[in-house]
Amino acid sequence: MPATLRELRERRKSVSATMKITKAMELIAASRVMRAQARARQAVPYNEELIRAVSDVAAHTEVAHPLTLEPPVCERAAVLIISADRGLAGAYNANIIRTAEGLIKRLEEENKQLDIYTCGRKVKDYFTFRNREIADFWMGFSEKPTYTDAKYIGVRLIEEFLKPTAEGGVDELHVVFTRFKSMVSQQVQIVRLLPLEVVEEDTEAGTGPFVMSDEYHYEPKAAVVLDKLLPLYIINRIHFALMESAASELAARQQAMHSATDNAKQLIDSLTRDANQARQAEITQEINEIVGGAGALAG
Amino acid sequence: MSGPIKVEVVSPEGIIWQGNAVGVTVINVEGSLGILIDHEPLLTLLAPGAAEIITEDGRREVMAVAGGFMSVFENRLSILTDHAVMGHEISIDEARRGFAKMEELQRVGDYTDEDEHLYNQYLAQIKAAEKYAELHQG
Repeated sequence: MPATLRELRERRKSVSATMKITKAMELIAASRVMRAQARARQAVPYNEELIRAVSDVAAHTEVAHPLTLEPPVCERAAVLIISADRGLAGAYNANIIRTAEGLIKRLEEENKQLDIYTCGRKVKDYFTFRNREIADFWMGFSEKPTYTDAKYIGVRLIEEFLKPTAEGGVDELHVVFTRFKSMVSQQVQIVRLLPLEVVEEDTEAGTGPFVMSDEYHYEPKAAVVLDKLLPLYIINRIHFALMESAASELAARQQAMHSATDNAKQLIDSLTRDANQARQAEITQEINEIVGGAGALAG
Repeated sequence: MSGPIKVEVVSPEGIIWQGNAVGVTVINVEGSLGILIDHEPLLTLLAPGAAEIITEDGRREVMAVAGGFMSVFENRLSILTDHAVMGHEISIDEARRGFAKMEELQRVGDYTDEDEHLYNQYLAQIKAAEKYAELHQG
């Protein structure tokens, strides 16, 4: 027995209500992703110049600085995982968690103790639900991170890094975030922030071959300048990672909501057809009954 | 390897000024500092104040730079700062008012990092605006 006409109509109504919601969420995400993307793009020149300045310095200086020195053995590593505060963004959060788990496994195999720092509610929920310890967490700004948010995280992590290992300080800092490549493609990336691994992110910013003879001159002393520059570099990298993640999250949400809306449309179409068929069947049956009844009377 | 200095002044809000220059004067923590073509590699901490750029075609650009860093490497000069604004965009009255307010806060003792930022911004703006006015009078 197929569903009754009333049931079909009710289901269609509920699906169209859901579709309105997904459609609205798609539009909201679409308008925000533009802004998030613009913000991330705006920060690119600063980020690039900073990376260039730091890599020039790193390549041309002999000055030993706690932030650049590679510890002889790494006993403890910190992992900062950046996810969204909300779901409904397709595989966005799942991809982050999968990549982070891979990194955690790799670091554990290298016999390192791990401190996990999370940014965004989703990944925090993931770890607390599984009763796994997290060292610290931040949340509430995944869609619109500010420099101040990045600063909180950066300051905390640098502090952990500068602590002696015996007191629970970390020797390495990894960040898991999502790179915004385009509206349809976002990629989870792992970057080691500390000890400083100066990576040239964009080859188009190309810095020519270095002339190794040039030694940097510092004003005031190298230690003072580096003490200021390197935290700035870390905070900036975290800020950039947060902004890229925000743009990725919104793009992923827009896409997910777009396909949800499409699915709802299809569902409505097929429910409408079923409902029409049921209505027609009812009418046909009624006619049959009348004709049959009349025939019986006449007979 | 001479040629103009490629200058970029960037803040987290974007590129503030970009172009070729023959000379740049900034205020660093030790005083006023001039950079000419083929300067040795240098990394320095800037103090809040006015930066002046003499462009290839002889114009003099003034801007407020609220601290930060300057890196010079093979005729590429970058100024990285939290806040920078061009001289002609500054409203000196607004900057003076803001500066007075920050000084007041300093006295009262209710002074946060955020305020320190603003203090530096206003200080740089005032200095840059004064320099700008000086240049455009004569």
